[in-house]
Parts: sequence; structure tokens; C-alpha cells
Amino acid sequence: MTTAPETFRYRLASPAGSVFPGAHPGQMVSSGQLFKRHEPLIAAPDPRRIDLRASVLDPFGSYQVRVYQQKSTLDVYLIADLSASMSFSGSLNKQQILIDFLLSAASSAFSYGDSFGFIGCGRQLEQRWLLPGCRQMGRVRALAKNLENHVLAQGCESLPQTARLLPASRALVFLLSDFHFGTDRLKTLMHGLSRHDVIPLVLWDSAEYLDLPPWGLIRFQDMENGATRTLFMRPALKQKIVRAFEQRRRQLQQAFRAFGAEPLFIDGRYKAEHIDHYFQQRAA
Amino acid sequence: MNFAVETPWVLAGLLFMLWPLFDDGVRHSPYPWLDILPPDAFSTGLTVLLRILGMATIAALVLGLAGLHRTEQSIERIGHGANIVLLLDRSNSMDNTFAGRTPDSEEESKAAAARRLLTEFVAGRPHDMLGIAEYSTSPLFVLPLTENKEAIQAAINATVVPALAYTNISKGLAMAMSFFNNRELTGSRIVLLVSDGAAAIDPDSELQLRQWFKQQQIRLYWIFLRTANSPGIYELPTDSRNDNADAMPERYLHKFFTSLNIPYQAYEAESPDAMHKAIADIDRLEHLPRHYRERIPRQDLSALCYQWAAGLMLVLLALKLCEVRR
Repeated sequence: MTTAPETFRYRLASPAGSVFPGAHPGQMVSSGQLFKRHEPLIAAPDPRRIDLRASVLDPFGSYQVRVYQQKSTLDVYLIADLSASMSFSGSLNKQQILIDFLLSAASSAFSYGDSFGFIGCGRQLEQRWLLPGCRQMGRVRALAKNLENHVLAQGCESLPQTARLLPASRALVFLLSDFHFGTDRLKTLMHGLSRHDVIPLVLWDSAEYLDLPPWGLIRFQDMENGATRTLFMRPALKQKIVRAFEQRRRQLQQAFRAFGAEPLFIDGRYKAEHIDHYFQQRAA
Repeated sequence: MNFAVETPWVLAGLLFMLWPLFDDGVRHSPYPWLDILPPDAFSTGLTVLLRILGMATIAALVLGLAGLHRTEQSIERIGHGANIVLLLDRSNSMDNTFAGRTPDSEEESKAAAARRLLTEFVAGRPHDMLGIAEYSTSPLFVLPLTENKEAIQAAINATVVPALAYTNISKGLAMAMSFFNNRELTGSRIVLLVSDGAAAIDPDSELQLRQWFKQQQIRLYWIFLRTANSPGIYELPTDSRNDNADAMPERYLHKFFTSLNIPYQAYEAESPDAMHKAIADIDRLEHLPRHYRERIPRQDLSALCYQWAAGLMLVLLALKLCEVRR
């Protein structure tokens, strides 16, 4: 952790609802740069901002005050899948990517002055993998260090329970997982998170499908339940597996789009530019 | 098909056959989610095959270690043959030629001729049970009734050793008949007596022999190897004083055999050719169907087990070499 983590720029698709002044366009009106609307002096008792021209034009003769949009803070949360399959090590270790992204997201949030929280989901929610919204990089680093030494265990059944740990107001939620579980669980999860702006980050590795050997006998052991399956790899079967992953990609896209979220597939190395790109595309 | 093993406790190793059910031996590679992999019938078949191969290899090895063998068996067969006891004369005179001289390079002895012709006779009759008895001063038990042709040939060849003393035919006949005692034998029972002389049979033995011949239903062939200038079977005495068993034992023995009322045939052979004819005659006559049991010796199958295990292991090794290495 000698080099500072890469930061990326993010924004909400719709204005944030937080009352605290921050860096993101919000729904609050107060002091700011962007003119929002006129309000009667009773509603916005700030005589410094009385707009004389608007007051004269007002048919009812009341004083009109100019109100500005206040920039608000945003709660950024990272919900991470801590099931065993997330320790898959292909071209890169997924667990390491998770830690990289955790540090990167935290430092990005802190650079905006936003709070950052982390929820790690195993079979059950565990206190040590919960970080409530905070603004201390030290706590995030400590968490990252713990995560690095942790051997991930089977199961991510606690994912749908995360909704109650998130703030009531709209937050930016990064959902980091390989999404190697059934679509039903995905739907309940997304239902719970529908209040928030969810960015699904799908962590796949090319070793799972594109970089499989073309020929030979191989026995795969499921990292979650330990079941094994022997395959005789040959180009036709490899094609079938690649097609299965493409189909799964489309399935995931459809499932997320139904909830208004566009998944971002991280295949291989994590780069902050990918997230930058994603947010720029979304705004367009 | 009776299989048996040498050391049954080794069969406990067959429990290892369960092992391939849990582990097919291919190296593990961790994979995040198996459900996404499409079903592949070929791979499934290959997995089943791998397990079966593994189980078969272990089974073959364990059976080999346990010493699998097929037990001795007998198969019932029907052949044309007979149960023959060769009763050979081992008196001194058998070592002389038909002319009564010491054998030289031109003339063979009667014993040698008998040996040669009997060898041919035995070789030409594959389905016979043969036993061999000899007699001299007392009877010699040589070989019980058997189908083992090698043993029979060896017993016939063993008559090479020089002959013994005198002729005691009644005891020889008694022993030849004792071969058939307590044996369930189908087909005809034959005593083939090869001798070059005869002896008087005392009245006690005569009575006993008569009874046995009747009981055992024996067919008797007598090949009399007549030495030149000796009395023959059919010769009549010139002087009535000489008409007794001591003076003309051949004639009286023949009379005794004829009086038994059993199938009896005597051949008087004065040369090897005549003897050959006599034997060919018997060979032709005695071809009644006979039930007999052929014994198949115990077969050791552990070598076969090891061969199979080695072959299967080669296949498994080939498959192991097909394994993906990373």
C-alpha cells in the first residue's frame, strides 16, 4: 500500500437528498451556484437574495427570493460478496481486486468529502466486515488489511439482508460480486436495494472461460460446495462454455436493467478509468 | 466355473473399489461456479468410464494378490474306448527273442517288441483308461487305471529294466482284476495279458479267479508270445501222460480261460508281426462307447489378473497423461 489508490469520479443519476452540504447536486435549496427558482420571502427568509425585478412582476405583490441549489453530500457504500468463489485466482486474484477497489472507492469518496461504508456478505453478516459510513481512511485500510488475510468461506446468503444496513436516503451503492448465484437471489437483492443507485460490478476472470485449455482432461471443483466435475476439454466444449458465459452476461444485463442498473463487467485487472468511463457514459 | 482364492482375507482389499466412486483421480482445479458449465455427455461418459476402469484395475490387482484360480474340475465325456489293464509278464524269458536267443541288433527281445507295440496301441486309443500290472514270482503293481497318457507311456517304457524270475500268473490275474474293484466304470473292462509262458494255477486260486471274473464282467485277451519250439496253446499232448497242467501249462491255462464263460480271445504270436496283428485285432474290437470324466487341472488365474491390471493401468496412465497441466 505504498502507492496511493487510484481515484475515480462518480455522480448520481438523480439529485442527492442529503441535507448536508457536499459536492454533489442535491435536492436541497440553499446557498449555491446554480439558480433553482423563486420563492416567497416567507418560505425562504433571506432578504439578501430578494429579486426586485421578480417581486415587481409578481401579480400578488409578494417578495420573491432567489434560491439556489445546494450541493449535497452522498453516502457511498460498497457491498461485497465474500463467498469462497471470490477467492478465485485466474489471471488475477479476485480477492485482491476487491481490496483494490475498496481502497480506490474509499479514497474517491473521501476526496469528494462523502462518507464511505462497507458491507461484506458471507453466509451471515459479520460485525468485522461491516464499516458504517465514515470519513476515516485509517479504518478502511485496517479493514483492507483484515480482508487480505482472510480466507473466504462458503456462501453469500446474507446479501439480501444488506438493505436494512443502508441509509434511508438515496445512496450510491457499488455491488461487487461474481454473481455466480441464481437469478432469484439476485432479484430479491435488487428489490431490497431499489431505493438506492446501484452500480453492479461483475467480477469475472478470463481464466473461467476464455483462457480454458483447448484440449485435455480437467476436473473442476466448485469453490462453493466442493462438488467436482470432470470434463474432457476440446475446442467444441470450450466454445460451448464461452457461449454459456455470454448468455449469462446477457441474462445478468437484463436482470439488472429491469431494476434500472447497468452492470459493469470487470474482466481481469481493475482500473479506475473503467469506473470513470462508466459514469461518463451514464450521464450522457 | 469354480473360482477360488488362495488367501481370502486379501479380498478385503476389494473395498478399495469404492474409492474411484468418490475420486476419479484427475487433479482438482478450483472453479467458481459449476452450474454455469454446460452439460457434456461425452465428459460424463468418460467420467463413468474412468471410474469403471479404476474399479476394474483395483479388482484385478486384489484378485491377483489373493491368488485367484479355477479349481480342479472334471467334465463328463463320452468316447469310444475301454478300461484296459495290461498284465505284462516279467519273467526272464521275456528278455529273449522269439527264437529263444539273447537279443542282438537284428532281432529284438519279446519284451522290447511288446513295449514297442503296446506304445503304438496306447497312442492310437486316446479315450481309454489304462492300468498296468506286471507279474513275475509275485505281482507288481505299476499304475492304477488312469487317463494320463504320459504316465502310461512312462510305465510301459519302465519295462526296459531287465526282467525278474519266474511266472506266477494266478497272482498277476488277481491283481489285474483288483484294479476294477470299487470303481464305477462304464464301457468294457478288459484284461490284456501279454506273456510268453504259463504256469499251473492251484485249485484255491482257480476258484477265487472264477468268482472274480464273473463278478467283474471282464473280457480277457491273451497274447501268447510263443518261443520257437515251445509248446503252444492249441497243441495236443502226444503222450497222454503229459496231459496235465504242470507239463503243458499253456494248454491248461487256455482251457481254464475258455471254461470261464467270459468273452475271451487268445492270440498265439510267434513273431513281432503276429503280435502286431493281434493287437490291431483288439484295437478294432474294443470300441464300445464309454462314459468317462475328463479331469481339468486347477488353473492359476492370478497371472491373467495381473495382465489385466497392467493393461488397465496403461489405459489409466494414458488418460492421466491427457490431463491438463497448469
